Amino acid sequence: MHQHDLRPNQHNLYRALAFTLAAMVLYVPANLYPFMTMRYSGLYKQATVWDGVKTLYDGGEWITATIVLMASIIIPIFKLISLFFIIVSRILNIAVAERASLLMLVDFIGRWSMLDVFLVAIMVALVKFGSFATVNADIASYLFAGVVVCTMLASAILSLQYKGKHK
Amino acid sequence: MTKIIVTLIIWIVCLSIIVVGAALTYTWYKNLGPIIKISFKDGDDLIPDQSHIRFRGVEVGIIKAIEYDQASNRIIISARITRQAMKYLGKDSQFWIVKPRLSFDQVSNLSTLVTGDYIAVNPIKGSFVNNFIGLEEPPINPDLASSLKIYLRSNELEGLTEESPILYHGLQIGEIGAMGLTQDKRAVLITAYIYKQFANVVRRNSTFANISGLHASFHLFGGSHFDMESIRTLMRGGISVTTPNFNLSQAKVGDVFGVLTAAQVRELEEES
Repeated sequence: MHQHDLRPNQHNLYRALAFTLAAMVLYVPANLYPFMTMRYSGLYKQATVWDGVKTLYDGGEWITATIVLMASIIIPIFKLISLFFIIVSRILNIAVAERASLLMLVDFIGRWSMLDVFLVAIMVALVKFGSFATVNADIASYLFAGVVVCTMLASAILSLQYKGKHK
Repeated sequence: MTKIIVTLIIWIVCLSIIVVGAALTYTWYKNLGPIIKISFKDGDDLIPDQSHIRFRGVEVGIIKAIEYDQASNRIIISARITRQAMKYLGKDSQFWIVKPRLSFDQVSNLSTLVTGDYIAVNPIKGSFVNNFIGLEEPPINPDLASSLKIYLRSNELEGLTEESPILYHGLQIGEIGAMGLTQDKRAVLITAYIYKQFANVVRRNSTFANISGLHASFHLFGGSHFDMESIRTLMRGGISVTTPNFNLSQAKVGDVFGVLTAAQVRELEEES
C-alpha cells in the first residue's frame, strides 16, 4: 500500500520499540503470578490467569473460558509479536507488504485484549458486597495493567506517526 | 535535541520496567520448588490447587493433582513444594492427612470442615527424594516420643482405647498407646506413655487399676475422688496409678506392670 513512501521517524520507532520490549518482559510474570485471591471463610485460593481459564472450562463455562483465554493470553502475545515485527522491519528497512494493514489489525484487536481485567474488576466489585467471600486483585493484575499500558503506548506512537506522515 | 532526550527518558523508564519484570520472573523461578508425590490409601477430602501441605500450620506446598494408581491400588498426590521446604524434606519425612475429629471428649481440626483436609508434614532432614509414602494415621505425638514407655498387662481391656488417660490422683500423667496380645496370648499388653515430667511418679511398687466404664460410674455415685474424671473415663476408659511411697526406684523404659481389672478393684475396696 503506502509503506514505500513512508520514511519512518526513527525516534518514534525506537520509542515504540522500548514500550514493546517492556510489555513483552512484563507479560511473562503476569502469567506466572496469581491474578486474584479468593477467600471464603478460612478457605483461600490464588489463581493465575491459566488457572482461571482451566477452572472456567472445567466448570462448563467454555464461552467465558475462551474469552478469557483469547483476551488475556492469545491476543496480547499476538499483538506484541506483531508490533515487534512491524517496528523491527521498519528499523532494519525491510520492505514488508501489508505492514500497514497489520498495524491496523493490531490497533483493532487491541481493543479486545485484556477484557478479563474488566471481568476481574466486576467480580471484585460484586463479591465485595458479600460478607463471607472476598476477592482481591493480586500482583499479576497490576502486571497485566502494565502490559496493557505499554502496548497501548507502543501502538499509539506507531499509528500516530503513521497518520501524521500520511496527511 | 529534545527528541533525543524524550527518547532517552522513555528508554530509561522502559528499561526499569524490564528489570522489574525480569526480576519477578527470576524470583518466581527461584521459588519454584519441585513436585513431590505422596501416596495414600485414601484421598479423603483433598482438593487440587486448594489443599495445602503444612508444617505446624505454615504452608510449605500446594496439592496439584490427585490420581488413582491402579498398579499399587493407592491414591497418588502430586504437590508442589517451596524451594525452602525442599531442604528439610529428607526421605524419612512423615506426611499424613489432617481431618476433623469429633469424639466424645475431644473436638479437633474443626477448621478442616470448611477448608477441606490438608496434609501435615513432619520434616526429617536427609537426602531429598520425590516420592513419599503417606501415613494413614498421624504419627505419635512428638511429646510421647520423649516420654517413659512402659507396658501394662491386663486380662481385660474393659473399654480402654488408644489415648485413654493415665491418671494419678486424678491428674493425667500419661496416655495409652497401641494394644496387642502378650506373647503367650493369655492377656493383653498395653503400651503406656508416661509424660516425661511425671516419669518419676511411677515406681516399682506402683499399682495400676482400670477405672473404665462401670467402675467409674460406681465411683460417681459413691462420691469418690474420681468424680471429675468419671464422665471422661466412662467414655474413653482410663487407668489410675497409685504409688504408695517413693522408696523404690523409678520405673524404666520397657517395664511391665499388671493392671487390676475394675472387678478386682471393687473387691479390694469392699474388703477395706
